[in-house]
Amino acid sequence: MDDLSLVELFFERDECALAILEEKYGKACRMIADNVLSDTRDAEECVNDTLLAVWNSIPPTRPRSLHGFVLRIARAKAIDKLRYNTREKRDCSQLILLEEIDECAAPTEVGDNECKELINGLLSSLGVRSRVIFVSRYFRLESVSSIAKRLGLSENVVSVDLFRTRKKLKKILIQKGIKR
Amino acid sequence: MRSNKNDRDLLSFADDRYILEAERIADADSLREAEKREKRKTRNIAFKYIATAAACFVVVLGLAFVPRLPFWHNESDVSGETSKEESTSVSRGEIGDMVTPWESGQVSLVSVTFKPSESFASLSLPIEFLANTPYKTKKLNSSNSPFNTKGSPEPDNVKLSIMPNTKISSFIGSDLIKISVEDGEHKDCKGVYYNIREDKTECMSCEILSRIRKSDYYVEAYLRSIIEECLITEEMIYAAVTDGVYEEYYTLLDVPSTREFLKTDETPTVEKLGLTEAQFWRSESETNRELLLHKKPIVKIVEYGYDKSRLTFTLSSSVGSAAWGAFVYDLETDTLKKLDGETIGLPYCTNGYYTTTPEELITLDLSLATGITVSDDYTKIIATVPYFLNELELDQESGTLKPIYLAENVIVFNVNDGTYNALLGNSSGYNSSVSYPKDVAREINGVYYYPTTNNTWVFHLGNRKYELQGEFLKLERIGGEVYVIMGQDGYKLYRLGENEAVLSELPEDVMLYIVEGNERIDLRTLEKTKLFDGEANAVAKTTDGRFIYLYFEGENEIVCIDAKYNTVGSLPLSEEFVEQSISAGNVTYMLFLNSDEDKLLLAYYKDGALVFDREGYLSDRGAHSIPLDPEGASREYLDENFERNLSAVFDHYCFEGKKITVRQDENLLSLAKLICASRVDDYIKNNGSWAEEEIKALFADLGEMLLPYFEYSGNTASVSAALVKKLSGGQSAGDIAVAFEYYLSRHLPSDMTAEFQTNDPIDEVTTFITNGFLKLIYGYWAEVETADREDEKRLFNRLNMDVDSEWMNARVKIEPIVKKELEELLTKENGYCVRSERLVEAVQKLFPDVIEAATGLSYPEYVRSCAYLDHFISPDFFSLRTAEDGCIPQMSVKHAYDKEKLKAFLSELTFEAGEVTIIQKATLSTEWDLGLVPFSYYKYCGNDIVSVGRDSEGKAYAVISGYYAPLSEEQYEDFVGLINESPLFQREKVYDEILNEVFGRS
Repeated sequence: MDDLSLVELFFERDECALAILEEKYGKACRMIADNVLSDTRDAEECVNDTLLAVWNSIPPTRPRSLHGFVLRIARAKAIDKLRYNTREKRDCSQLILLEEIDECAAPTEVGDNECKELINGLLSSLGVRSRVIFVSRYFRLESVSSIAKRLGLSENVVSVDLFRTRKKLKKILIQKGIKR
Repeated sequence: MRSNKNDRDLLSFADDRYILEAERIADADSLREAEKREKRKTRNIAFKYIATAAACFVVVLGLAFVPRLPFWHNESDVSGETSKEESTSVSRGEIGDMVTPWESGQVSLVSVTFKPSESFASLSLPIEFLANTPYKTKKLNSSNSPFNTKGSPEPDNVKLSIMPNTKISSFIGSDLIKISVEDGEHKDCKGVYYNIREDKTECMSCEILSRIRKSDYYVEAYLRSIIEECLITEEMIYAAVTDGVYEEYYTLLDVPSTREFLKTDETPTVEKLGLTEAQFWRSESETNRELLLHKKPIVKIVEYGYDKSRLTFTLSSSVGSAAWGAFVYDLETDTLKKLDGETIGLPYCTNGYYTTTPEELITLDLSLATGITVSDDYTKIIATVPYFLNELELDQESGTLKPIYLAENVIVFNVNDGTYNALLGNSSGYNSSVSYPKDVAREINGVYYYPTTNNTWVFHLGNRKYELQGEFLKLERIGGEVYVIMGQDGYKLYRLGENEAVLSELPEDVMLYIVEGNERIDLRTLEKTKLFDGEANAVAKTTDGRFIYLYFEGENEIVCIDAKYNTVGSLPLSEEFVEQSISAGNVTYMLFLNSDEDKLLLAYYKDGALVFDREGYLSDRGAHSIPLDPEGASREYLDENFERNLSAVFDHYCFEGKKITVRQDENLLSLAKLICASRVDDYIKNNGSWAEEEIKALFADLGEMLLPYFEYSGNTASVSAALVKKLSGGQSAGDIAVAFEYYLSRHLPSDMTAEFQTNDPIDEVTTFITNGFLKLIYGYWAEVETADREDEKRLFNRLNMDVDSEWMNARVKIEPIVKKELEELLTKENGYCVRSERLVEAVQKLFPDVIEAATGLSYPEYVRSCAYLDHFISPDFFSLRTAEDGCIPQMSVKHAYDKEKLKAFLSELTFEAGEVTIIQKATLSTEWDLGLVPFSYYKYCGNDIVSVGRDSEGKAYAVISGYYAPLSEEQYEDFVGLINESPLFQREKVYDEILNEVFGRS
């Protein structure tokens, strides 16, 4: 079923939509959650939360890309869960990830449009490789080693790339006066 | 510092397209493909050629194209329009999708009437038909109608050229009808037009291609590009271009104004162009595609694929009329057939290029082929190819099928008649006891040979096959017999007899030598003779075991010692070579290309590049003297496969890495690519990892080649590469790079940046060397301790290093190594000088004020003087020069430096106009001036280089081999014009003029 029809099902409040959504994008959501949480049960919970959130969001939202919409929610859920978990236990790799995510953040007073402009401006300026690495790491929350393996690169290459892109982002934020 | 966790997570605002892109690019292959596409987009230079050619076509065509697009695009412009809703039950939307009668073939062109004086034409039958079709009626009633029906048809004025069964696709303006031709020359072309005014049929795609070919345009990025379709209007040319892997995309040319592609940053889509799909028509025809291949020197397998049992090759060549075509190698029957499109069912284009990849074939990376070599006489291609295909295995990670091969066979193609021979015969099954090729098969003296999986060497002579133990050293044909020398408990000489290889004595009166290192060994007496004293400038080993040593002596003299004869100058370079070298000036570089394969020797001159065979004679087998022209002299020697593999690495290297000044000197880039090519091959074979030796070798070559561009020479580069390795310890260069980038960003002065530009395997090391080595020294030796421990902790956390202990340990470990390396660099022996305290100090600190203290020059002066340093003191010097932005001092330890020369130079050099003191005339005319990055115009003049350009501050200068002076703006403009307009080799006048005017001498 294509995404448009699926969204229609949500609008019709047909619960089949959830099953189809799970089948269609559950794997991708699970992957993101797994990447972040490293715990199957947590990840599963996160996927369920995501489905629920989609159910609650559509309607009224009519996402332009259902795929992106679902992934976005899954990611947010996963990060929330990660923050919650890290209050109690301190896993070095997860802390680093959080730190890096924080590095890619802007103060609350920055508006949605500006945020979009900032991040999409950065992404469009990157080469495809850097962009994929960056999005894989900080959107899909994939580990460096996993990205490296998947894309056939060394971990060093991925690390260096991420480091530079973060630096570019930081520079942009500083130039815009958003960060000091 | 940690951000507030409530901060706005920017990634959650990323566009869907980026998120989905990351989803889509799920493996290395898709990433590579995406990068390829991206790269193509950026290669807009190439488009200019196409645009120019296309524009030429337009001019020649001399037609006044009406800007209007096919009229179904633009109904609203038409006066007297009858609304679609009114006319029939056909809705507007349906009309948009409606297949027009001429598209559907319902309407055939019956006749055309054209009266030039009144510029109208009639279509008899279509008019009748159209008149009854509301959709068309309005068109015909329109003043903008392409065909005016009001005039009287005058059949006598018309000569109908369109062939029978031609269908009208659409009308373009008032003079062109787009037609579909079902027979004849443009049978499958979709971009065919009937030119009413000139009464002829033309195919724009073909015409453009033809013109590109005639003009000998060479478009690197479009080596395999195909202009599929063009739509030409007054304003634009819309060209659909297809690349070598048949990905289609469109681009947009602006015809009348800039004649350049307007959009290069993104692929224009039909929607973006404001056209409908129908208007931006494209050809689906495979056979319409042609490859823009340019003077390929030797036969190549340009593509191959398989479908479990068949291996399909595509060959192309400019050598030999039958040297190209598509072949199928049937793995099951071990047979090879030249493809006939009909019998095999694969498309086979009459232009000789296999132009499509059948869906059932899986295209393989060429690196899977063990190798392809060409026989000495260029009549045979020796392809070492996968032989017994075990099976296809599904790679779980990538989800793609990968072939598992058990063994390889050697296929010898005769390029003259297209016949072939599989050296390992038509074996029906894999047999582990059989010696299959382990490496690339080669040919010498008509004998094909290769190392085998059983650690032997196999030689094929005619139908006979010989297998010998030991190390293959040399093969000679003496008096009709073939002798092979194997290293095996000393040396053993075998004669390849009727049935087997027999141990043999050396025939009387025959001298045979083996060369080991610097010694030539007489095989009869085992007497060793030292070949030469000192170190040769270049050494090449030929496949028959010979070494050729080259010495550059003086400016024009090249001494060649061939170990076979042990003579100086007796095998030597031909008179032609010497003449050429003299006439062309100094030999700047001399390279052995593919020296392991004993192919070609290429001498690169300031004014041209010459290709010689291994005997030192100008090759007459497709290799020849090639002028340095803007199209790239040595380009035709590029191995396209290498080029493809290399592009990801080297293009980046050249065009982004600002360490290499980007000039429109394609020759140099080509040469550099050539040098890299073999290294890249090794790189690929090593699954993407560089061995230390390879890095050294690469940099030795690159350093030599790109001396003026890099801040290091061969020696230094390899030392530094080793240093990287040493430094890296458990970490790779990448980690070190990250560490230093980070560390140094905190320690460098604000006007210096610490950035390692790229992280490709090559670049990772080179940038580390160029930037990192310096900064490494600086970072550790500068007495700056800012000690932002938190940041350091974070960094080393990421590097999995324990912050407190390992960081300090690393420093303790690295520092002495750095010091020692630097000491070694500065204390080279061999009579070169050794060190200067002042310069060492400069190196240690690398601050402008220190430079000033060390050299007596202000920093800007010093920066400008760097080129002089190169020039005057080269090759033995120690320099600091500008980096990409002209403000980062870079150290280059090339060899050592001549302290006295340097001192003299520095003390005498002034920067006042007209006061330049000539220290000495350069002995080597390297392209030293390009070390001064901003200099943009340069030309050769005799043995000197005239350079006119601007420095980083925008000031104009003229430089001629050590003479230097500021220029006024007016002078600058004049000289740039003069230099650009003067033909090559005739620039003495310019030279003299600049000398007179600027330097006050003649």
